[in-house]
Amino acid sequence: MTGAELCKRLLTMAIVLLGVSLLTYGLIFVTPGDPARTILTQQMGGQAPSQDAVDQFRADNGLDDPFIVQYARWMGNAVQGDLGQSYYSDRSVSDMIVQRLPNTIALAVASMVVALVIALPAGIASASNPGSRTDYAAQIGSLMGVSMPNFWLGYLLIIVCALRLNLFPVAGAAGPKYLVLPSLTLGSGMAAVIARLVRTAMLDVLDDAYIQAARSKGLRERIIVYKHALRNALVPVVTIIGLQLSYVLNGAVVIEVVFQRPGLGTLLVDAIFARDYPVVQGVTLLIGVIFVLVNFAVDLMYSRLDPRIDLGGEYT
Amino acid sequence: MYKFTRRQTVFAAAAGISGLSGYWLQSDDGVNDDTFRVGSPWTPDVIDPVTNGWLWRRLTVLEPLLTVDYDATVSPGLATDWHMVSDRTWEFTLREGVTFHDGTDVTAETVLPSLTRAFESSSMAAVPVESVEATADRTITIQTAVPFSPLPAHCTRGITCPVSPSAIDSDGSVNEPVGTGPFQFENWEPGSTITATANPDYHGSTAHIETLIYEGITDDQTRRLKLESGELDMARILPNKAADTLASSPDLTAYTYKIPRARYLVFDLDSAPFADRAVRRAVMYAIDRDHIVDSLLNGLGSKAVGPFPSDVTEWAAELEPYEYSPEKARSLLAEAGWETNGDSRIRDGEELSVSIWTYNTRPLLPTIAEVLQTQLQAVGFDVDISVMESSTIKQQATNGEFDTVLWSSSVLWYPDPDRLSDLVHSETATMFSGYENEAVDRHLETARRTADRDERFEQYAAVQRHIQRDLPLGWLTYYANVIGTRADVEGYRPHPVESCYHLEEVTQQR
Repeated sequence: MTGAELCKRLLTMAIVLLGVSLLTYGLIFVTPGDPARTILTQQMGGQAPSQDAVDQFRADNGLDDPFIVQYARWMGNAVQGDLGQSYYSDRSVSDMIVQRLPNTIALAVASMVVALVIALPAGIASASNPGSRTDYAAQIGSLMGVSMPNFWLGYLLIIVCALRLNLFPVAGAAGPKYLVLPSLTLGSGMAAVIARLVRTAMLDVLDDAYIQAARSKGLRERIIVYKHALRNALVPVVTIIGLQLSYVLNGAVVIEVVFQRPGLGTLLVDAIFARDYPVVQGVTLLIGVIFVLVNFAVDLMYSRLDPRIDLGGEYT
Repeated sequence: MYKFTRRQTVFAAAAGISGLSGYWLQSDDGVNDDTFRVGSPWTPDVIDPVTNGWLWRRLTVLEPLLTVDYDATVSPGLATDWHMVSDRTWEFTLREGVTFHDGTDVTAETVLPSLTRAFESSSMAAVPVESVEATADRTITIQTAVPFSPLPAHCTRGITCPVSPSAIDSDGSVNEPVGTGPFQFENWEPGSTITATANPDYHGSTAHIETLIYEGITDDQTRRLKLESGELDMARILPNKAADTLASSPDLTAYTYKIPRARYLVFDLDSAPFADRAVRRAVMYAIDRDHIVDSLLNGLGSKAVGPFPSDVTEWAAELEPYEYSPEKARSLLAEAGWETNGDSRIRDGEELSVSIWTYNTRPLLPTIAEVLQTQLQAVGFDVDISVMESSTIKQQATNGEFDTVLWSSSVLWYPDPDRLSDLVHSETATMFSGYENEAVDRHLETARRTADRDERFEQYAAVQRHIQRDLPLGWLTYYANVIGTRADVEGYRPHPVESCYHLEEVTQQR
């Protein structure tokens, strides 16, 4: 990638992030529900605040200012690295994110590992013997995986593995064993999607002329599949893995609630319900940054996997 | 050759996984035999008592000047005595021999900074406190702008709990809840857990539990499953339908008890059709509250007559109940000019169609709204239900027209019937019916100024009778809480106002 291309790329990323932040700030702003009232209600253990209290809170937090002033103030601080203070807890948003982020990263990585460990062998086995029993079993398995709601599978795993078999804890985030059930729940859903894609991609590649040529040379099937076909089949798979990161972040919201993990997902949901604008904005911006970076990384991976792809995305 | 390698790999992997899981299963979470774990829906995100005092108070890490007794009345806390010196001046006498967790003596001087912070905060903006002073070694004097009898009740709120002056930073924030309670703060994981340990120097009887871990678990099913698996010793606020299954398990105990919290309809008195009192009365007669209690609440809780449940608090007045009578509802509607037209009713060409707004953070409300829909349709209303977020409802109902809102709230979260001012006072009400009644305002204001309990009771009884007649709010049902513990937990006494869990009284045999 040349310097000019990199600059162009960075500029696009900045514009995307600006758009994301403006859009989320705007959407929260027009969503009915008054932050002053909502947050005071929380602070008072669920009781409705008086109008005086609401007025005082609005004045203290600059909530009487017009939308553009509030947004500009937030953005101005954000570009200087200051994501502001939570309206509710008065803690710094960056601190809150830093403290919650490891839990979500651990969940994302573990789920991705679970997904790949299930999906790659299943997809490959299925494509190597299309129409076989293995193929049908893998396809039925992934259909179930795609169709099962996360929270349902989560409760099922809790009831079987935690309550009946007593192998794992029900919920919490106190150690590695607390990661097993949530990552199985989230990972199995992703595995289903990835396995189907691996199967299709492998079938495509296995039909290619160069594979036929390799077969005709008498190469062993295992070498053909793993050494020659898999690498090319991985190109679309890498894309989908990148896209699945959004699934991880979406899924993490439900999974973190069911398994009571204090991560970004629960932080975001709580902040949305509390109308805690600075926290919602901070987390959304971070998720935006992750997305943009993942997309960039996926592009870089492409050219590694298939040197014919350049970063402009055109075949040469 | 290859097969052998694969077997080896599988074997090694299996050994590795079982070894790791063995390690995981034995790994120590810092939980010992003398640790008591309690789970409730609220996640701890803040240390500062001005924001989160109610939670620290529930865990008895912090203690207020005054507390709430099991009969929902104000009783001594850090202050042993309190009285009105003149109509705007109150004196509180502090208990002797009490120290904060850091060893500082509890005196008027050391308590003052916390009280000042609390009364200046926005959550207390509705309490007309003018000044707080330390007038003697153990005397705190509070001046109010107007005569204000409910002041002692507000001094039971978590927000007013004193912390040691050493816990208040120079910028006025509190970063550690150094209180006076039977438990002292040890550690917290924001958004997840709080750890507290028994305070050996407590001024009352010390806690039996050595370590207390509080977990915020928003999902009620997860709370219940954690209790069943033994990861919690107590799970609070469980669904009503969990009570039977908890009670039938030999490992668990269920506690169900009534609390002063009500579900009610708030009518918009400013727009049709509920501007007409006859229509509001028709609604109340059309609702079969026994059916709601039996079928939806699992028989827990009870049907409401007025704001206060008489078996929890002595502030309930004798009121004429609206008994279920669809015939009476129909005749009221007919008298008000709503003629039947097939299944519905019309007046001046307009259909009798209303919408019920409600929210789902209190789980049964939408289901109750559906039952109301069916019961109201039976007398000719066309009912439409919207489930929104509570803050959205509040904003939209405060600023615009609505028909009726199905709401739920505590009626004694500070133990004083002045709570009725929040519901129906024409100027200070936080509810949105738009009710304006000079007599009601006068009763509420007189009661605030009156010191004598019996006289106050009469004033509030009058207010309750006005509400019952005018129906800005229509009472439906009272609440019961469901709490589950492991069967070996003893000594737990549910507190009606839930302001304290009193876990220091609990013992557990293992």
